[in-house]
Amino acid sequence: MSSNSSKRSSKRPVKDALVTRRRLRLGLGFTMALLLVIAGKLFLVQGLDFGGLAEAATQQLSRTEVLPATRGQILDANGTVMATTVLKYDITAAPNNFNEPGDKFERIDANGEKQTFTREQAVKELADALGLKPEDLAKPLEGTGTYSMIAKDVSPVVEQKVMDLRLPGIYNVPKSQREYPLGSVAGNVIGFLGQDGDALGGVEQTLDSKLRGTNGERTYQMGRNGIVIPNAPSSITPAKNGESVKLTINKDIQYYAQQTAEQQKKQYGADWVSVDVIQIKTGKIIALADSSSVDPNNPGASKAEDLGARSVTAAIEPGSTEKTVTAAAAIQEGKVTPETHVLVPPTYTVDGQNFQDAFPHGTEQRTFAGIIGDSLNTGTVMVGERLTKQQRYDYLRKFGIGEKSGVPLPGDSPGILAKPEQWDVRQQYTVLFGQGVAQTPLQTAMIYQAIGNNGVRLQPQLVESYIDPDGTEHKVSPGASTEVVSPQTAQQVRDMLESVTTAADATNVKVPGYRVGGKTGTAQSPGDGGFVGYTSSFVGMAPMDDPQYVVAVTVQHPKSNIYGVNQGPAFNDVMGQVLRTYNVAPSTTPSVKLPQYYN
Amino acid sequence: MSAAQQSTAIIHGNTARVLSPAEPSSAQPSKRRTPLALVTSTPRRRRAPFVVFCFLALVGALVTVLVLNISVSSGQYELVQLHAAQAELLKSNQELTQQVQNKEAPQNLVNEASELGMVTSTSVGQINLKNMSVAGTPKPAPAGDKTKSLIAAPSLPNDKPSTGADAAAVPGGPAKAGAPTAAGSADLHGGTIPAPEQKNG
Repeated sequence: MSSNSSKRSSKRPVKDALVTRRRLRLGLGFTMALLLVIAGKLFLVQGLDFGGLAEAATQQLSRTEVLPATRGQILDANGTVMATTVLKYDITAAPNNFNEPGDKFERIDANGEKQTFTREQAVKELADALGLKPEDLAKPLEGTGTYSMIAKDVSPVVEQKVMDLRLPGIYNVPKSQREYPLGSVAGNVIGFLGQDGDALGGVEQTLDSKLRGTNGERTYQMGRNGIVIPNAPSSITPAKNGESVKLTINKDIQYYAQQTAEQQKKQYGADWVSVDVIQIKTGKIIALADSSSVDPNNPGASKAEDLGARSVTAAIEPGSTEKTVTAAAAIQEGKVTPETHVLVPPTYTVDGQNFQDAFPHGTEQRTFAGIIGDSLNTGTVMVGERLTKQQRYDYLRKFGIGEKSGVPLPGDSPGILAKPEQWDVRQQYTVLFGQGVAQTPLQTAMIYQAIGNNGVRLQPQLVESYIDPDGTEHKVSPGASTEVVSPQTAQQVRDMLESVTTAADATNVKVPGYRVGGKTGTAQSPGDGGFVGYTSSFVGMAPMDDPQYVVAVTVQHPKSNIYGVNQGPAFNDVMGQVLRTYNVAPSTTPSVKLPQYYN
Repeated sequence: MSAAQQSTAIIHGNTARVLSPAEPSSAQPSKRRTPLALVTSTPRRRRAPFVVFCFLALVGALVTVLVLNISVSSGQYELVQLHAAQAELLKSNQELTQQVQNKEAPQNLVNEASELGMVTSTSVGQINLKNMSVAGTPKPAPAGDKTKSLIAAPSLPNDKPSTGADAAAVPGGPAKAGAPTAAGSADLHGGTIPAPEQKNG
């Protein structure tokens, strides 16, 4: 037994070891094979992605959201915000969720305690937060629908109050909204956005590409539970906010001009009135006021024809204010001086065309200054015919008639100025006193800007600067200037314009302390079926010792007797306000009073 | 070569003292052993503090990581809270800015001023400081001649939002008048610029 066992024990370990080793190898082989299968599968899944599963998963998890760019602001010359984008909320409800608790509403209050309250209480709280009556909410909250609008465009403060109530089924929908804090003040210039955010008028429309900015994008992966997967690839393209636009408009002057326009419109029952203020040395538009300006917050309330800026869209026959062009041209061409004697007959006939004046008079011994002073069509034609037709046309063109003013406003009209060869026999004379030619009130104002600026016409400038989102301000350089007449000619024309207010037609034009000059205009306005009404205007500048500002008042189709219509007081008001606002030093030199008659 | 000769050969330099080779020959082996014994004993004494040091360093590192982790995550909570406070402040700032802008609208100013009894002056004079003369004939404006703005106040959506139920209702009304004052006086303690802590608390 013992020998047997010793024999077996000496043999068994060898056999056991062999078996163990074989088993081990087998096990190892099996494990390796399994590993290989797993590795293979792993390679298939991770490396080759058969069936596009990984891609599909990424696509399912990936979310792309637009980071909206904030639209730039529109500012006035002093930086007052005239258009801005604000955050607003719509409060919506899902009535099915709201009505689910029945009459047992529950919430955790600020102290962490559980509150229970009734549906009636919930509705009342909601109504209080929104400033509504509970019965207003009865309809949108009843039923089992999934959506109803509770309140539109509420401020974030109200939204906060509503969301603090923690009512089920009440939701907030953030949205950005364009607001115009000044309302209809400069509304005609600023323009407005449509319901879908498209720019539909004014600077908003013409400078949309600057204001708009570029939307950004954020891509990330989100798990089924709605949590962003932290280390999954994500990318952000930040939004590029729009540039802000600073205008040359001064909101206070603009308001004053608009107020004056409204008043003139009301007083004379006119179709419309525009009041424009231009800075002479720079061509900057300080005010571009129209009556019945649109309130951009609510453009739907305005009539379609009131949506634009008439000062640049309405091409009208200017009338006698155009005599300034004739005077400047005739003096520049050496045909006449302000003192030139002209024997003016009661009516004047040339080429079979008879011209008469607004008031009856006998044969008068007028100086040229006297012709302009009392706005005689007869005398103007007598002097103006010394210019060739081409010269008449060229000077009108040089003063900017027949070309767009270039201000960034929709519908900027070039006016209507036919070529001299197309003028009919009467038109060649009527253009001398502003009939048979049409131009915008702004173009008329720019004629006087050139006269005030020693004969150099500047481009009207509406945009002061563009401001980057980071606050860097890029000044807009003024456009090209045109020398229309010599400084001497401009001075002589200015003396004649001043004499209009000191010795002739418009002695009611006065701004205490300042020398002023200007020209009245009364045009017969053509329309469907001939004469439809008058255009009454006054364009002037001050102070005459160093002209700084032009104010142009244009009243279209006043209803009252045209001889009672006078834009002098309106001009005085606006000009006085402008001069005081900009602290223009009062005149120190004696005013000019050219002789109107000769003996 | 004897061991003594080898030992003398080690000494270099001119400053080294010349040792007599015969004298220390018997003591040298015993001197060699003593440093051996000392060497074996030093690591034994040092090993224990090193382990302790490692352990402490580990514990220290763990504690540091833990503290860092806690502070980062509590910082995260604070960040979220501050973000919320910031958003809230931005909103109330927007609201207040709008109110100011609305009040600054010229037609609103004119109406407010004439409500308070201000009238437009009808005549102007100038004082020339050089020769101390007064130009013009300024007269005091007659009272009661109320200027009225012919331009409508801005119709901001705040004033007249449409609702699902009733277009005539005014949700924005109380927001304009009530909310900022409530938020303002209660939370700002009469101040104008709220501190985040006050909003958080």
